Amino acid sequence: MAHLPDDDLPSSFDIVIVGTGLIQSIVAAAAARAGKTVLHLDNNSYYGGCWATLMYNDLQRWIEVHSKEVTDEDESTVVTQLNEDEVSVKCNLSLSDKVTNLIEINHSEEEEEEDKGENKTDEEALVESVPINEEPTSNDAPDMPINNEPIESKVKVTWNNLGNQKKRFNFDLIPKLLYCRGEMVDIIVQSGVSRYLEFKSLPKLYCSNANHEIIQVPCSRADVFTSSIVSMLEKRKLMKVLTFCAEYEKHETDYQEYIGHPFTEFLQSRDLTDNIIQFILHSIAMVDESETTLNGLKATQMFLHSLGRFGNAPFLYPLFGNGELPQGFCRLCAVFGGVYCLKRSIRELIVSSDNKQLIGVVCTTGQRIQCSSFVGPAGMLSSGSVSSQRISRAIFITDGQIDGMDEKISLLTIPPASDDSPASRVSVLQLDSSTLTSTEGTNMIHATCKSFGSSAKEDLEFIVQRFFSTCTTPSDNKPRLLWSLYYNLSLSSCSHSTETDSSRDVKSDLPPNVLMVSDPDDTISYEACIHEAKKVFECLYPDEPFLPRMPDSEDIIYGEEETASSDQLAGETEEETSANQKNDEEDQHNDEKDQEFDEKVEDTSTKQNPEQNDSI
Amino acid sequence: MSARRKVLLKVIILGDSGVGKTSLMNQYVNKKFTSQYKATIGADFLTKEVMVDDRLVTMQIWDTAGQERFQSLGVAFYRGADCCVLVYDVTNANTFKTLDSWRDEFLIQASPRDPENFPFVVIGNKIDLENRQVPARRAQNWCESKNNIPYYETSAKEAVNVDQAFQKIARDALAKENDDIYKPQVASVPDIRLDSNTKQKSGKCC
Repeated sequence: MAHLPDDDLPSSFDIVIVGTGLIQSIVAAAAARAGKTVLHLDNNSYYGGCWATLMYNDLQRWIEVHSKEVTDEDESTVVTQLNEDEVSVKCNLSLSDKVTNLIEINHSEEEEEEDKGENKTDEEALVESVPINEEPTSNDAPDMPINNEPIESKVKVTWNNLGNQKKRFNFDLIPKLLYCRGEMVDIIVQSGVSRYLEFKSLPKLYCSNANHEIIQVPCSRADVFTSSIVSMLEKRKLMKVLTFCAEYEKHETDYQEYIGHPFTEFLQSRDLTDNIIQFILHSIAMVDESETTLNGLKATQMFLHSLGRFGNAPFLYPLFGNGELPQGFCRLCAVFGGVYCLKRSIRELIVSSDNKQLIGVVCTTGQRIQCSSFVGPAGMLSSGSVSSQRISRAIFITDGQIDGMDEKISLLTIPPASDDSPASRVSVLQLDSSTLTSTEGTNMIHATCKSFGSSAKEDLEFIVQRFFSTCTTPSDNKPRLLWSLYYNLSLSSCSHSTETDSSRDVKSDLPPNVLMVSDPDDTISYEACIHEAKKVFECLYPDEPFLPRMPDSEDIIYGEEETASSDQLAGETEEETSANQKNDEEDQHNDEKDQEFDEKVEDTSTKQNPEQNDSI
Repeated sequence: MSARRKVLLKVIILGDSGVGKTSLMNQYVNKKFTSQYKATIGADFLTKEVMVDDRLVTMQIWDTAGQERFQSLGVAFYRGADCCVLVYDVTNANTFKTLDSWRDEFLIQASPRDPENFPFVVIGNKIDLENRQVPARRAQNWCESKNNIPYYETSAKEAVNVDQAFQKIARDALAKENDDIYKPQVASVPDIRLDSNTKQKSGKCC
């Protein structure tokens, strides 16, 4: 690759951020936007960390790296020269124990073996039949289509004969969706990151009932009344409770006593059948049985409010996969001066022994960099309050859609079964080539759940039996499974507390200007991640606005603005007042734009969803 | 496919830091030049409407936003490019040598369906300077060896040849776009764009 004569990074920044996961990337963009100088590093050669979407080659490398036995890396013998009043804190660089139980299966190999067997018997049969033929002319013999026949019927796709097309697959390590009216959509529109992204909406959602049948989730009033998921009697009750959830704030007295209790208890109090409760819990709110009433209501409301904004679906999926999101925020950060360096991390934090404040970091290259704040991934430092959770993942490539999920891009939720697999809710996301994550003629199917068994394969293999045709269990109306990948991910999350919180001491072992951020959570949405990014930013820069609206690209570059942008680098003291003035002007400008945007949204929703009034 | 659909072409500019990528873009779109170098800040992408034959097309020219400085351009940057411009500085031989790796990097990351015929344009910039290191012949030879990449020598500072180079870029990008079956537009469900304020992009969505 192109090399500068000097590979060293600039030696001083306001903030150093390690890991290009989505939360770090949002914080990086917000910091750069607030005029801070940002250095953003990632040890990987790709963006996104756990949030990444990998191309096939990168995925192969990822599988290779994570299949290796975890060996303790040689403690670096390099000693960083420190001043007397400095202490160094070592960082944990190997995060490879996060991924376990990796199993990749190429089903075309199994199939080919079977085909070979079949061919053999065919050939034998033909050989036998030849003597029966009365006039076997020797001229005809070589032309006999003995071998052509099976080859022609073998036009079916297999993983092996996909060949070069494999590079068109984009594998989400953790698939997620955006609520149409969720904060993520608001933030990317407001910040301008939306310029870098395009989306598909999920026109239909499905759930699976006790008999393993796939049923469409009713997303509108009409849907509810035609749905077979609930009986006539239940329909009124379902409508009533959904209408309540859509405006739950207005009826505080109705749910007050359940605030601290599980959402299920609240639903039970509404005189609903188990059928409906399961349905709301797993297919609408998509929360666990133990989720609190308030969170359950919020989740249900978010789902309902998201309907009708971009078509009759509550969710959006980014073209090329979820890994586009962190990259979008990183680009925004770079546009505002952030410095990016992949394949590089930091190995030590330098802390002042006087006031226990972080004063700098040491890169993996040995370079020392001064900074006044640091943000890194949970688990990078041995201290800090971090909890961890294990999820099971499976990625399947098939030659068609799941029978019953007739919409190409759609989500299926399988509620936990008490007697059968799975023991926790499984989300199955079906993507076709229009999302640019799979090739024409194939589907990429993601399954995700909280781990309950000993491995991802054990947890999620039931999906193969239920929905796919394989050589051991062939079926005509099921899509053929071409390739599968199973893995467990161990995800860390950390709790954040603002300066004013009394619980601040939970992470008192970290310098106050060092913040850790969580890995992705196990929900399908981005809401928790946005919330955490905001909180981290608020801890760092309590007085700065969080990702204010992006000026038009034509406005921010060059000419007269030139001085403004170099001021951004130089510092923020003198120019603060004029910057604030500028912000005010911007705000005014923004109001107009908000209006413009709302109008546009209305346009789209009426265009794409003529029955919008029909939404619940 | 509706041939008169409004066309939006994505053009990305690659090359080492300091070769004048941002200056070229700025000279072409804004007719401005500044000799004061700083690593690119605030440059995102610029758009310009151009006539190619009798068709009006919108060219969206994407800057690296400085992420090329430590070889850290993510794959998202390369998505959906219709033409890739490789820029080097004629007074700095190293920036010419790295064209090979920039081209390879593009082909790996963007993975165009037909890499042999993907439109590249090579620009040797800063011909206004005295101390030229890379002879034009050498650059031309390299371009010929890479399936005849069109080659231009420009001065972003004095606006020499910049328009001509970009006209060629627009033409080649349009030709590529016209026979590209891979574009997501063929999909039945329209792609959703969320940006309210970039009018110029609305052409791509529905």
